Amino acid sequence: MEVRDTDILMSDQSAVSLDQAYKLRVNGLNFYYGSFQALHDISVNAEKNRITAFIGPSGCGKSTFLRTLNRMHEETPEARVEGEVLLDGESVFDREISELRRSVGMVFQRSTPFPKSIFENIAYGLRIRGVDSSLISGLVEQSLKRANLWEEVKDKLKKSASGLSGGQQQRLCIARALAVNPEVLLLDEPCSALDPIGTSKIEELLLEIKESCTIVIVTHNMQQAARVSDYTGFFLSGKLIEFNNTKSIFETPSSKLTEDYITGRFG
Amino acid sequence: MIAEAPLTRPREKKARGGRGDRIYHVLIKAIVGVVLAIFAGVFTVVVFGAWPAVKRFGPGFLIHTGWDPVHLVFGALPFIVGTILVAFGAMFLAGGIGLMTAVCITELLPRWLQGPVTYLIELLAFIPSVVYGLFGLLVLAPFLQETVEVWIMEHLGPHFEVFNGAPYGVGYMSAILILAIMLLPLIVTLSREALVLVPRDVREGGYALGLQKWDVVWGIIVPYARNGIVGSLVLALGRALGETIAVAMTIGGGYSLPKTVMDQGYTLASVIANEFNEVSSDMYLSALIYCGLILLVITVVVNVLAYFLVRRLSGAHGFKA
Repeated sequence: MEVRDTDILMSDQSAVSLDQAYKLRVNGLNFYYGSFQALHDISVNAEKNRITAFIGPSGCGKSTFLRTLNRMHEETPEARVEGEVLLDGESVFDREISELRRSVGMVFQRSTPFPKSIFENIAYGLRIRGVDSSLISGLVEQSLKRANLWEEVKDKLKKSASGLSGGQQQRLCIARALAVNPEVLLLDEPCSALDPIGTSKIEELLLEIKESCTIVIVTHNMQQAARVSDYTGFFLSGKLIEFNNTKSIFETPSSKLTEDYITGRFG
Repeated sequence: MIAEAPLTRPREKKARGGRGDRIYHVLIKAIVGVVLAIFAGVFTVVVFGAWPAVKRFGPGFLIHTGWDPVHLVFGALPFIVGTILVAFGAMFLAGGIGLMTAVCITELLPRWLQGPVTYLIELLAFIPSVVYGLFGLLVLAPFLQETVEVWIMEHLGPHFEVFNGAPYGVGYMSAILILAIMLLPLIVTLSREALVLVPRDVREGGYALGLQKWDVVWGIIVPYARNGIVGSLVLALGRALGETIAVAMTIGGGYSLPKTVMDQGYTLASVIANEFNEVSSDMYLSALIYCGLILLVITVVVNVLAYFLVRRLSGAHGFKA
């Protein structure tokens, strides 16, 4: 076991209280694709029932970072991780992977409806999980309502999900992730392929579901981060340059690099 | 009224076009015309060649058995049955194994192995069918005759009529196995391409829900790629129905309806190939061409059905590719 400064400074008592305040804690995370180091010594915490956003230019490592939180990086060959990721104080690497991914749901940049009906898109995951079949249609309705999609699709549940608009498909993916009642929801640029109306619907939705869920969102849209998030982190070249509450990041950034990025000088 | 004006304008402009554009249009249409003319020509020649037999035997040719060139009594039912048995038998084997192989390549093998394995399987497609026929005749058939067929005859024969045959070696079993081997590379390569095209996000969407690999592969990836997979099966079926020389070399030849898997017989394509050199009368020749006409119609019908199947799959309940 590696001993860190923070471990020495912290009593057991304060570690417990940290775990209560923070849903997710990341300590000294290094990430490698083969011999290329994509993330350098990232340490950051995500507070419970808050939206934490990560911004930064393309290729800065923010998506890579997000993918380590539910171990999605393990689907990429040659990816390797060092450091700690703790969910409620327990390392995610010690948990059974499919159980972890039900607790930590994920929504991707491109909406990814399965080649099934709208109903089956949500029911499939539940059924595989062994949810009692008499409960499924109720859970499907509940998830679609939570994702603000129910009114738009309630008359065409048996139709193919591919007939929905991009924004509706993305909300379907959110509903699908919510159906298994995750504690954390990760979103990887969920609005980058959507028009402004689709985007604002998703943003409203995020503000509603943070009541019951901890949200971590990666976006290259700074206005989006400013609008929805409580905390914001700025990534550049695989390093977390700055992390603070969103207001401070956008109004009084402490790093020159952050200031240059949010004022549009690069990125 | 006002809104209509700009709508008509681009159309006029298009019609005027450039000179090069017009030549291009004429050329393209001419090429399409040539292709259609070739199809119509083949069809016409086959119909004319088959006409004497069609007039003499009528539709009864399709449901009668008996093939007697001396007394000029012909019926194609055994060959039609043979064609369907051999094609679907081979498709049954090659379809299952081929899809499993494609899934194995894209979903289970490590990336560095995927390329070489795919290449080796593709190599199977480059072997000429006459070489498959030789392999079937000289290697596979004697092997079956001495081992598998003897075992089947002794152990299954007494219990099941379809296995109660003599071990000739060449026959339906050899032809089906050889044809299945020939269809495999087609099915594996095309299904693999369809599976590879499934977006990474769709795969990960499944894993992100905590689904196991098996559920993601069979519940999400394969259904997503189903248009391409069905397409590969359709192409393979087309080949299976029409494959001539390898089947002709391994099926043994016979004019009666098959009763067991080890019987010898003919498919429509192989009867034409094997009998063509022995034609002794015009009516005999015409009867063989009638077989060709039936094969042509079967192939066209199967392809049209397949077209509607693929369209249905990508329709309301399916997924747009």
